[in-house]
Amino acid sequence: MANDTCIMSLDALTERAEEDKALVSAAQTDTAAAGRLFDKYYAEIFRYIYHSTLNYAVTEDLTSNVFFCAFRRLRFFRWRSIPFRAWLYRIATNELRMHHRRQKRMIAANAGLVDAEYPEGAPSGEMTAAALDDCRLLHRALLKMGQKYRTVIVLRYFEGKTLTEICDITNKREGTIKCRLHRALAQLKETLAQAGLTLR
Amino acid sequence: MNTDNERIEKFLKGIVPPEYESDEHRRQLRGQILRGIESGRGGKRLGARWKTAALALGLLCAGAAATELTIQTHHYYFEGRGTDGAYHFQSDRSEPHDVTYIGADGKPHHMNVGGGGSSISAGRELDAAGIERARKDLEEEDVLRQQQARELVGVFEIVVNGKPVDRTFEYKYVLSDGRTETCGEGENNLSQAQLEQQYAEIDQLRAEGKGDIRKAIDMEYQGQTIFRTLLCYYVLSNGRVVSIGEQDTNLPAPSVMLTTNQLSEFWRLVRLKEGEFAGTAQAQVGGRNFNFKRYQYKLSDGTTVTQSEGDPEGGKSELGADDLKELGGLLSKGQPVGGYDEEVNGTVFHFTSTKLVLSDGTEVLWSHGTPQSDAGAPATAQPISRKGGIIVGGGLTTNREGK
Repeated sequence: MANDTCIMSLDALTERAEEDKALVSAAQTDTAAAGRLFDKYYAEIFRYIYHSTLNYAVTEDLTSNVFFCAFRRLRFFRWRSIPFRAWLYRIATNELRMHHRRQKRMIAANAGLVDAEYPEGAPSGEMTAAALDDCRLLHRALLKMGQKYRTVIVLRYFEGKTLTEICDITNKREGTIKCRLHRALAQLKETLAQAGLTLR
Repeated sequence: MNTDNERIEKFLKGIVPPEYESDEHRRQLRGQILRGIESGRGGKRLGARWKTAALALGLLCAGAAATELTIQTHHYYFEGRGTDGAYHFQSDRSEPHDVTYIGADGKPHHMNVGGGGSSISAGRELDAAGIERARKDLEEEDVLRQQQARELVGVFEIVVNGKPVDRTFEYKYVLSDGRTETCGEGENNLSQAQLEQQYAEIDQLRAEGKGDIRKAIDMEYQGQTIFRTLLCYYVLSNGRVVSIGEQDTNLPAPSVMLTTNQLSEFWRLVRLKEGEFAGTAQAQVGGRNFNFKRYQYKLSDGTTVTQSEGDPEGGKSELGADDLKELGGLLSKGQPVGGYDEEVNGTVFHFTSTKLVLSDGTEVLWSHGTPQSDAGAPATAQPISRKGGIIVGGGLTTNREGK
């Protein structure tokens, strides 16, 4: 984790932020630019939500909510402390938090845990049965964790976000994120061990 | 980082999460968002009209609540008791359902349908605990409805002065504590695709002038009609009759308007039937004479708003809450006129019909259908008021007699 800052150079980050700034500014008044902005981030947000829920229908639903919400408020977005990308992730994280809260209520009601829709076969011919089992196990373990721990794990290890990016998305200091990651990993290790997975 | 955490980190880095892409969803969502932006930039007048149409549809489209993609828990709250004795509840289902369809002009149209409200006609007075239980029951029924965990036990088909009105479906819900509730609902099990197809067909019929205006509802403020909602009926190609609330586009633009808060308070008063009868009036709507009954509502800031409900001259073709109440008392005295079998949602229902005449001369052919295995059930089942004569979003009314 020490080489965190090396993942993306400062120059590249600045360039990306400048590009976003121009696109967001144009999208506030131009529909075609809004379309380009949507195209740029749709897949990324969709993937983040899918990795967090592993449910096709829920992913589509929550992604729609994120973009409806973002574009409804786009004209109010001001480039202050966080980049547009982090702002979108923040909305998505909030949607996920609300979704998991609703899920909890549903489980309490009578519906039971909505199981993830894992692909039947190996997607892109790359996922073996063992990898699929690991994924399933990991996802169940993540569902048992608190939302704040689940968020940092998914962002860090599935989405490959840097600590700085996670700080922007969660609006927390780097020390807090490091602490959350540490605790989340410890919790995860314990849950996986209880489920019979021995890590070598 | 300690060794244990390094191991779990290594494990996580080795995980390849499954991927899923939906080009169709991306395309649809992109279209909806960009159309939303376009309509938002279409100017104040267009925006206001769109909002009005959405409001009217939310309030009047009883049959248009769509099947939702995921189960959502909606909170219901007790709004108050109407002057007619009904208990009114509203839900936090504030976001209506989006429907995009290709209109008669060949262009995509965007519309919001559905809403969230219910009225309960209890057979007796409810105390605070009873109201709270009714509220919780509504929340549970909402979840069961989304899960399709309900049984269609009856269908009502009504013909008023020779004109059919849209069907009311009678669903039975079994609650977690074992109690059963029966609710009268509009057609709310249509898929997104079916809804979009339905709206496209309605748009075509509207363009061809095939809509039948059965009721006009005016909202007057400072001597001007600020909204006129027309309840239009359309006969679809599959023979089904559907109603839809539409804004009268021929109405001149008003120079005054109520604020959002005033509108919200006004609709609440309408739901609770707190208006005072203010006489009758006649007006031309769509080239026909309509007889209006006027009701005045006084808002908390002293503003007076008048709502007029008009039926076409020569006999009504839509029943109001008072009519349904009268009908309930007349059913046992009605004249049986036989029966017929009809398939509803894949099940054959046997309908038995009764002919009745209301005190104002309105002729009603009342048919109640039950699944064929239950055939023989009397046609005197009590009418379940879907709209209850008041404007309720979502069009749900629950009858709880003696509970």
